[in-house]
Amino acid sequence: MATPSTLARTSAGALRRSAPVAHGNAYYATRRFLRHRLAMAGFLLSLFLILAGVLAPILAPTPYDFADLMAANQFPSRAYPLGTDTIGHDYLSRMLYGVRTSLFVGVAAVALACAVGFPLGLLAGLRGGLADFAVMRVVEVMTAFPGILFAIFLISVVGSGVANVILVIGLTSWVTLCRLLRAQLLTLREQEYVAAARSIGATETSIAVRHLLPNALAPLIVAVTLAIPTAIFTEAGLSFLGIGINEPTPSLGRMVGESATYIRPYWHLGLFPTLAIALVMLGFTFVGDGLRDALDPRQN
Amino acid sequence: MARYVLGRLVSLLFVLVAVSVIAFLLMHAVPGGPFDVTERRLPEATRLAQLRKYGLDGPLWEQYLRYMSHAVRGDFGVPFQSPTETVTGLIARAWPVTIKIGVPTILLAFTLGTLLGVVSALRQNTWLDYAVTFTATLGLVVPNFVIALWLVLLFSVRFDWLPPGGWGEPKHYVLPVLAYALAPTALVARYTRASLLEAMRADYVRTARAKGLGERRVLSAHIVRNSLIPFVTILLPEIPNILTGSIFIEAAFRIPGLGRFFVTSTSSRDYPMILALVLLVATLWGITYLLTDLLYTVLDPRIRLSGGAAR
Repeated sequence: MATPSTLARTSAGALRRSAPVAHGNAYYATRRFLRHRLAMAGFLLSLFLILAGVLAPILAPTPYDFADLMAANQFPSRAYPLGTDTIGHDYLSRMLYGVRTSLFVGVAAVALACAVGFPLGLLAGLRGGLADFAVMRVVEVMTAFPGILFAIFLISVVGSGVANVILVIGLTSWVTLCRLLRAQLLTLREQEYVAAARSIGATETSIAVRHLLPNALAPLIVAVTLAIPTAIFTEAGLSFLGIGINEPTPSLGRMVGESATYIRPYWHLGLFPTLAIALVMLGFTFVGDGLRDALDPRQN
Repeated sequence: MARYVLGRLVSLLFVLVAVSVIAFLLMHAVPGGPFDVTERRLPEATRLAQLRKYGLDGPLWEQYLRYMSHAVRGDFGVPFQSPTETVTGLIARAWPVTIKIGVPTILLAFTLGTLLGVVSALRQNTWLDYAVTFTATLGLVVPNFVIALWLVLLFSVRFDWLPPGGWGEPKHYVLPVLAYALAPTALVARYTRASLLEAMRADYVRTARAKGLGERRVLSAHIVRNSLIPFVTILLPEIPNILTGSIFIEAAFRIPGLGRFFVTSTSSRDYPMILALVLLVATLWGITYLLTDLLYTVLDPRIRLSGGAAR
């Protein structure tokens, strides 16, 4: 905030009132985000899904592992809003817990990816030299084939289950974050204000903390946000193939995979989980895209 | 230029060696081998003979070197999951299936995608443009196995026009190709639209119009040619992706292609098969990225490859 100048204090009040109010970048970014229709739709959708996932134990009519074999294969009705599956789980309850699993895996895996990718990106981008060379060779090997294949390969090594799925997705998705942070640091290091800071005797640490990192933040926020739907997609995919999350934990992806066998008589088993996956993906992706537009007004 | 290509090939070789070592070590780090018999104990001599037959005896580095020395000569060993065949034979049997799905997918994606992209760029901000953009977003964000299931629900369950899965007859191609093509179609449409719009606003297009060039010629010689550049970099890498098979599409429609083997080989710890698949994909990817970078310089002479001769 600029301090009121002596000129402003001595001049007429009218002049001061008409002077534009100074706002920070965050203010304009927030305003751009709020006005971004798709982003807001995605935000509300994500919020709804997060609430559904978090409140699943309260909202679900039955516990996720409760099955009533006598009521198996029911179509949606008043008693079972989304029907029941082939062993008599209430499908609405399974869906709510499935969303919960998806979100939990997505967020945890991205947290792990950040924990691995950011330190390595910092090391490569700030140190350069041998450290950079070593990190970039690892990155090169990691990107030698499609992430999903790598995830399938790793899961066969560590085995399936929630914790292992998180581990595998985290270990396959840190590369993007690491590379982005490194690229940001390398570009920013060449900026004039960094040269200026260096010329007045700022230390490398203070340049990194006060100039490089704050300026690298915006694209990182976007990348981290967009990493969540990607992680959710990988979880759903692995579970769809039957090598992701195990019984009794509900997973939307596995529900889709298992529904294929019964798709002709029991369409509801396939329709609802696919809709849920689509909504989760769309919600988070729109938020990510909206953040990109809001945080970087130079694009478009 | 030659030096640059050579450098890239060396680094590709490094990546392949690293990938194969990592894959090899990881596969062996897993507790449990393919011949751990729990129900019936084999006599020690039989077990050793079995291990020797499949090249699983001796120290790890020796196993690796032996495997790789055969591999470079095109012999990837015998797959554990089907011991009467060779890995090369199994891949040769499964890959054509994947390619038969992949080629129509690529053709559909590129033609339809380009068409939709051009139409929505020329009719910017009309309902047509919005419809294309909406479909493209859906295709890029929603996983293809979800799309696959929706198509099955609509065309197999609701209308009973097409089979929900299987392989062998022409009708088995329709739904997998549609489900598989949506994402690349969306990608092509989006990039075509964006690069056309950018080219249409460019100074050289205004210059071309100003010097009295016909609209047709402006479009073909200036707009389209220049909007090809992002096309190449974005879309070329899609090709090996599609040709090595979508695991999900093949699983969703029960197609006996290469993608299926990624899953079956990893779960049955079929080392020779895994290593062959991993090397195959890594090689295809590496070569495609190299080609992409080279094509990039051909299409846009402003781009100079670092490491090449600076002129």
